[in-house]
Amino acid sequence: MRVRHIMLLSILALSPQATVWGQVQIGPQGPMPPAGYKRPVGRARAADLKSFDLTLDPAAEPVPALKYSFVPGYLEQTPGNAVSFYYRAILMFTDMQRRLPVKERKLIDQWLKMPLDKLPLQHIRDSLHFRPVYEELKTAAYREKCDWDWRLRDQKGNGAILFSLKDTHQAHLLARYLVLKARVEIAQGRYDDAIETLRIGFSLARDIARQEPLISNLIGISIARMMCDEVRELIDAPGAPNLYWALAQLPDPLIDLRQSIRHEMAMPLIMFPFLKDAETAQRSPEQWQRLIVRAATVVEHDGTVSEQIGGKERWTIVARILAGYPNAKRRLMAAGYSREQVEQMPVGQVVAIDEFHTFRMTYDAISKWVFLAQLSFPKKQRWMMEAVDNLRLGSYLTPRPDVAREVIPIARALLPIGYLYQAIQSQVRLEAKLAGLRTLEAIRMFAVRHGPTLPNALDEIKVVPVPRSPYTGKPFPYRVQGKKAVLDIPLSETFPGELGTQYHITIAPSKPKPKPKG
Amino acid sequence: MADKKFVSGDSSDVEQVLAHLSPRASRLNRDRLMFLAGRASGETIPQPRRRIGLTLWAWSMTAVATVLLGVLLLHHPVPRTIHEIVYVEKPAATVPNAVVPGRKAATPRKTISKRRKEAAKFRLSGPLRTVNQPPTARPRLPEHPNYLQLRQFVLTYGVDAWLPPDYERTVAPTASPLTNRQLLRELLGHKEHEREPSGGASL
Repeated sequence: MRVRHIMLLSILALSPQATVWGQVQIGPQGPMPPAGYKRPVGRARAADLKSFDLTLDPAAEPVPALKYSFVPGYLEQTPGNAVSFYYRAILMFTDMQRRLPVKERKLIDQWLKMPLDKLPLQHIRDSLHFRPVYEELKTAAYREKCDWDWRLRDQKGNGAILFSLKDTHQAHLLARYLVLKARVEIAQGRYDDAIETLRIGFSLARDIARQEPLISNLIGISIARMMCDEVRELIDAPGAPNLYWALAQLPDPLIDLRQSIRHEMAMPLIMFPFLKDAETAQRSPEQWQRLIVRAATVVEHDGTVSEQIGGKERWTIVARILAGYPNAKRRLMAAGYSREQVEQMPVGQVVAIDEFHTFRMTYDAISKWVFLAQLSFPKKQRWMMEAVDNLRLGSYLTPRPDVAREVIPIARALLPIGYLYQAIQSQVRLEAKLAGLRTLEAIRMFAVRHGPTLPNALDEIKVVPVPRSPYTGKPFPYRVQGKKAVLDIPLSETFPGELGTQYHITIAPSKPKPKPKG
Repeated sequence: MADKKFVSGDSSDVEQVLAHLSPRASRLNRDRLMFLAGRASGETIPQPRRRIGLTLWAWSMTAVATVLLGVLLLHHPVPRTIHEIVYVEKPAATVPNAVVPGRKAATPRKTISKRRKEAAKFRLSGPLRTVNQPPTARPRLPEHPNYLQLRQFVLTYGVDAWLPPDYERTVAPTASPLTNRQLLRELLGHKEHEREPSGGASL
């Protein structure tokens, strides 16, 4: 074979590899860019942003300053628990929605996206009979406390994951009607009513987020985000009052995920309570085996498992447990147990103690970063991802049974490790949205003091503090382009594909346009 | 030995000297000479130099590229995590995406992140798992999902993708819900068939 033939064959053999490798190297993308890559900080790519044209009327703070508020007034609240009235509202809403023809429901989706001046106000009023539901929501929002009293941590076994969240889901759908109501009120120029509706919406968001599951918190964040979009529309409306202090009164953070993350991290112990007392409980070997096999089966089937486990599946699981038993023994001895102690324990108990240690190691390694409120989100995210990588390197999260740290992959299957920073990002995204809205209001205040002009930089605004980005700790990117200003509210600097918001701001001439008369 | 018959008395002295010389025996090996001649005839005659520079250059570059690719293939750095952004269909959003008239609504970007192939094997309960969903498939939940399935669905596709199972259906219209007064009248009307105790009204 001649040399040239050998060379030609080599090229043909290597070129696909090189192509694949080249594709893998496409980047930088993702939360861990290759070393040396510097993403421009504070500048979002235009293609990633949703853009809004805003024409803002200059507006000073109202008199008195706290005339408008998105939280129920201290003296307006009434004693009692809000939950009963939320359930009444959800019940009435469910019935109302079921009676609504599908065609009308689809119209609602359109009405939510339609420009305000094109809303068919009369048709909306005639179609929806939302008033009774709204009154129940209003009563709930003004109650002093909201205690759902679910106590999910007291659930045992599969009860924790079979707990229905249909009512929470209905609350999310209900919030859309609140948004529609607010839109109608803004379109008609009834700004006070719109603010009241949004106040109830924000209360609904916060109260839904008081439920333990992470999903409830995410629904709360979604509802709050819907309300923020309506606040933006209100700010953009002609003659709208300045809402800087109304927004400032909202709690910070508006939705706190820490409690729900604690609940999620405790889920394995709620589902498998035998792990908690594995070191001290006295059980027969058969009892231990039953508990361990059942736990492994539940994990294998994502929580759905019938009472009867088939023979073949059972023996497969037993074989896997026995295969991991020597490593579990070794780890217990390394943790301080004597050989005699470990040898005397039933196999199931050894596996259970080992799993508890592993689960705690995994849980603590990730969740500790969640509780550092002072840490900025990007740093928190990097620390958490590094913790995940370290766990992976230590075989804590590998699916390979021969090297995995877990004999029963409880932590790997049940802990929402990969979702944690995504959930936290949702929270930070909401904070960024709120901060962006307050920045708009600060600009409107500036325009009152300095004539109907835009500031050249956000630093020029001295009338009120300008909010800072939760990502960078600095004001949002802002630049003036002719008679317009562009304010970027990027959602993330490490997830390049995530949507952000870009406001193209124009200050209306001195005389505000007349409010629309609906 | 010169043949003396041919040496006449009239030849010069040089001729006489030369006549006394005897020829040397041939040193050529005829067989070898024939062999060399035959071999020489078999060798290609060197052609005049053509333009082979381009071919040589191409082969050289190819060889260099081959070696380089081989080295890079063996020694390329393996990043710890690589995410690929794949644009897929975004679930229908219920968040109002209001755009002021006159400005074109920005096309919503549709993103989902995907692990590199080794990490994608991990069956994690999170977005780090490879999501092998077809781009246009509408996400579906089981009919009665447990919390873990619901959590995964919501965290993968968003809260807005979670629609109630009867969202596309409507209940057959029934009578409007009774007010308190109507309900009371109905109950009282039912009890009017029974005799009232003599003590007075039962309610």
